[in-house]
Amino acid sequence: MLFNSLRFAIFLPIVFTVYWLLNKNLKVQNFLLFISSCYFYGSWDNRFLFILLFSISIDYLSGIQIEKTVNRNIRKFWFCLSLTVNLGFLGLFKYYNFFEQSFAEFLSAFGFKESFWTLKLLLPIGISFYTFHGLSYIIDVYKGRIKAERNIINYAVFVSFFPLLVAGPIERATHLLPQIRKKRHFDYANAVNGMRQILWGLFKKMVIADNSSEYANKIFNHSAGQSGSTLFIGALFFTFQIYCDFSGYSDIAIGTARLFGIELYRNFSFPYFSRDIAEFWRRWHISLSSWFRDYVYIPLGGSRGGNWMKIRNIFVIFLLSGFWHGANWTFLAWGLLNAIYIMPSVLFKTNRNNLDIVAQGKYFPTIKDVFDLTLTFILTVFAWILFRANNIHHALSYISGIFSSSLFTKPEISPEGIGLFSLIVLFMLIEWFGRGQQYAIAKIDLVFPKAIRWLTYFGLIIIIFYLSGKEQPFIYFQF
Amino acid sequence: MKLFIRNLMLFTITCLIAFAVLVTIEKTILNNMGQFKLSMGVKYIFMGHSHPQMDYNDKLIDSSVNLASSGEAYFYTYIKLKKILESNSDKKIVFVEFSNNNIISQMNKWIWNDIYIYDRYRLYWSYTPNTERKLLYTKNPEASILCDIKSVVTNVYYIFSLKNIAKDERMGGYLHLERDKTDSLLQASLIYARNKRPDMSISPVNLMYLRKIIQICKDNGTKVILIRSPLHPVYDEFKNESRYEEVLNSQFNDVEFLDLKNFPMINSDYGDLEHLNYRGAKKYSLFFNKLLKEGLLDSADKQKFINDQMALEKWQN
Repeated sequence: MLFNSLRFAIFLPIVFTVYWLLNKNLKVQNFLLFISSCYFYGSWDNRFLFILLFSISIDYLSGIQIEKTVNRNIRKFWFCLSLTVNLGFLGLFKYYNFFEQSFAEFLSAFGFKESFWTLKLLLPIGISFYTFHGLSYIIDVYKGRIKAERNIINYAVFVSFFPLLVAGPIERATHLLPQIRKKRHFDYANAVNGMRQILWGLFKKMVIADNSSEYANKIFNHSAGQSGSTLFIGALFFTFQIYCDFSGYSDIAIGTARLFGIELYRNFSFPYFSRDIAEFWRRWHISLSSWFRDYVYIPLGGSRGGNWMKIRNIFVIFLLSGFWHGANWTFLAWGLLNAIYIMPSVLFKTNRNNLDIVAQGKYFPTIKDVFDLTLTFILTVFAWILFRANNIHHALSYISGIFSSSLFTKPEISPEGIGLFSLIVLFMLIEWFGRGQQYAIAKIDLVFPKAIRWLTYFGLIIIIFYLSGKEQPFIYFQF
Repeated sequence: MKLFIRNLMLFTITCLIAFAVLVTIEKTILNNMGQFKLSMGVKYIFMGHSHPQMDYNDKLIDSSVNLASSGEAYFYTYIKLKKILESNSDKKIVFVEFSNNNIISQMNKWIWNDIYIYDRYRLYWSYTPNTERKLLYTKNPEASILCDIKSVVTNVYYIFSLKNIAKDERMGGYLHLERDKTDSLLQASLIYARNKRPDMSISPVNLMYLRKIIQICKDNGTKVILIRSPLHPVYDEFKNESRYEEVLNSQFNDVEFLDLKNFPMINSDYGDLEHLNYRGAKKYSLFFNKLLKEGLLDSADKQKFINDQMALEKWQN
């Protein structure tokens, strides 16, 4: 069930209404959230539901056993069991075939013809996301940061809450579980804010991302023989596709959760208005970056210790981040490139230079800001080529195609493509003026009177329906 | 909570009312703007899908107009013809293509698949009767809703550009086809045909709309004739010929039918196995014009008249 489908448009109001009608009984309300989430997840494939429920059960049991056992070895056993199940599922479904094929290719390079057992497995949707929910919970319980959840429904809602189940934001037990345990009160302003964020997310996804994907796919799939300028335009389209696709999804998820009185982590904070790569990574997929920071980077020593240790830790988290995205060398290369990008700022300790919002309190950036923003943006565009390409060879030929003399020729782009580009420019302007907020139109109620606001919403709805591109699944569902 | 629901309902109702007002205004304007009035001299109208669109060059057939359009199912032909008949009080003769592929279930897709709804329904939106709108909503609600909303915006463009929707090229008209790939297709089809099972399915909905076309013509005092235009002998859909004849004889035996599928042509006259290119269309249109001039429509046995003329044509060539 996609967020931008008619099914979801029917599902959400029903769950919302019943949920608030049951407001007097928190347990029943949570049970409803759990059942709705199961239905939501099962609508893709019922078989996936069993894996999710099994993973929930193991983590729930392990959490309690870890907490109540004083014997270190038994605690370790339950901790390892949970890690093994979570990472085992992830490894089996997501990475087994990749390792098997890579190993076979490696052997064949030395003249060995080995064929291994290839599994024809469907990747359960959102497995990387709910696995990370479970992992963060079990690590936090093991480290004594939180108490184990005794109510299985509460725990199940934490992992499977439908707005975040298939593509995040990746939540922490310390943040979400207390909200699930506590009685929620309907807040008008929060609900309106949620609806507005959903609308904005739908616009980003259905208008910008889905339309951009058509052009990006066309150019990436037929990149041979294209001019450098066309290839660059294709990379730009993908840059906006991936941002609007994923941040649009996150907006819908966060907005939906708000309707239920639950606040989720912010996942994006206008990443394309970053002045360096370190700032970009503080603004892009925040919930994943902070997960890696807290559960991998800091336990490895973080930025303490010598330069070699810093370099090692940076490479580890970026390679892991790349690998988390998918079982393909392109994702590893993407992670590696980002590690290289960020390295100078870490070594020269300039990575925390830009903690504020660019041109805060001003309409326009300074010339230095413009230079920094452009440079960071272009570096990001080239990194996305690795992310989008079918394989490393494709990525390299794509990038070398850009750096040809035809880079300065007129790109092959249809009038509709130019129209879309103009729309993207307009969208980025709105984002620019709204960059100090949670999402670009968050504070519209403070600026405009009700009639103008409603007209804006009506206009957005019409634009979404009129300009929506061919329906595309959310890119991050595959991760 | 109550305030939220109230405001949400109020917003939804306001949007729906605004939408309904916009729709009504647009429908009224477009219905008045769409000039479906045909020239006074036009006596013959050709309707149907791509076969007649590419076969009848109306410049070569006296007093005729070709309003056939590629990918058009009878459902959309009915909507268009209804509007044309309403706008033209003088009596015409309507030739409606009835080919082998007009009966198959694939035609359902031509009515309510996303792509056809976006293309056809959007074009005919302002004068689609409610019954037909309901059918689309039943069969494909998501695409129909989306198309309705998209149409509202597209129509603003039509209105402000003062564009006569009836003159939109997608409404139909003779299509000059240059291509000639019959030989290569023949080569491929011979291999392909061996494995392909005949499509014996039928589309009751599409046939129901052919019946409705016949009915509105009768109600309007307009003569309607079903016609099968030339097809290459290797045309794949001939495989359902028995089913085709069964449908024709059982469901449309009250309507005159002219079969010109065997009109003598050479491969280079075809664009492919079912469409004539401009050379074939010229040859065929001149022949059809001759048939009309020599009294085809007054003849007692029209098919015999046609067969005799085709035999003569074959002999002359």
